[in-house]
Amino acid sequence: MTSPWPLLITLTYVAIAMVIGLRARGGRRMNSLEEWGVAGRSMGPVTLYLLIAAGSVSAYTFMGAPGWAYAKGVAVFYVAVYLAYLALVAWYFGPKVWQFGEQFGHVTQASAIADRYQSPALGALAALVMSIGSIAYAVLQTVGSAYILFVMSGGTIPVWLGVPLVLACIAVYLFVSGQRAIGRTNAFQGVLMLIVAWAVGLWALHSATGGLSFAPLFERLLAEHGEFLTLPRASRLGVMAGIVAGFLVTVAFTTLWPHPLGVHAGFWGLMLNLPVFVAVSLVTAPTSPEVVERFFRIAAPRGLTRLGSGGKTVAADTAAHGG
Amino acid sequence: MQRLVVLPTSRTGWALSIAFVAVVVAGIWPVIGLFNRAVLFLGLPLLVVWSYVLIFACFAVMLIANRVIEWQEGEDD
Repeated sequence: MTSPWPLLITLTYVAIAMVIGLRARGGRRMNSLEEWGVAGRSMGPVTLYLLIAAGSVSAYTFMGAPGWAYAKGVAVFYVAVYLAYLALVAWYFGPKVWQFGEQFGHVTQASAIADRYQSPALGALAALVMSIGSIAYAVLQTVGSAYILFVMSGGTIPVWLGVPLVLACIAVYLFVSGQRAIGRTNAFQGVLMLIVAWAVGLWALHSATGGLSFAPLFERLLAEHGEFLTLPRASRLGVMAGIVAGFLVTVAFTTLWPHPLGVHAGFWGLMLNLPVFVAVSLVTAPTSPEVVERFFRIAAPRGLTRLGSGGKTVAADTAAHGG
Repeated sequence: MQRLVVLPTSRTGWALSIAFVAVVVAGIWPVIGLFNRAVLFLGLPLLVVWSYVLIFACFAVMLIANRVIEWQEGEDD
């Protein structure tokens, strides 16, 4: 190790995060799931914004994406675009799901699904799928953090030791302060990421070009590696194959044959998942109208349009059924 | 068997829905193919410029939708 500073800075960051996480409890009792799991539904917009930002801008964004940009070029901008699309989805569904949770007492996605479809088994299945689905992301974040420790310690802290160290730090403040710890530490991390991302970007640009304009950088890239300014080509056969295979396809294309034809495994899975969901829903019995209406009174307070009714709204029917 | 789906119930609602869909469509094939060229615009790759346009378009659509909702809620009161 040439200098102790990188490791000291990293450990200082961890120590600050620990202090913020442990103090986030602020004297509250964590003996209810609502207080521990969703911070008593009391997070403000700024904390929530930074929490989502830090949650979305992950180790992948900071470590994987620059590598992808180096290897593939502008195709990496899909990360920025899909995060913007994620905001669109959150804008539409977020407030409604928050209101479901507040009014019906849901704390997890699984409890909301179990209530909506009146099926504890479906809730359990959703919890299982979300747990399995989250493993890859949790492992990615943890291994990423451990790798940072490995690099910053000049190889003194190996990745296999960094993983339990990182997990132990998170586990301690999560146990003590619950979701409040996640909110506060993510807010801290979000602010730091914004500052560092801009600082490093501008520093790298200045080092490469001597100025702060991006134009010379991209002019050189165009002259020397023009192919980095366009997307890799997707084949029609690849898209057709994706329609045939959901979850199993996603797992298979992640583990056995990673991202064939350069298309992400999750996309292959989605192409199967949605049609199967619609097809199975159409041939099986729906949940009772009372439950549907209980949810739709929040989701569609101005009434519903029934398919095949020529655009006629059914607010009156809803009121008559649900009271 | 009754099948229910949430659809807009006003012209404003339809206009917002179309704007949301348009923003999404603008970021996928085949539209994205129009910008998949190795040329620079204002010193930036065309795809990068288009990515910024999409991000700010998402922001604008959500901002307008928020204003419309606030305005409609104000009218209901």
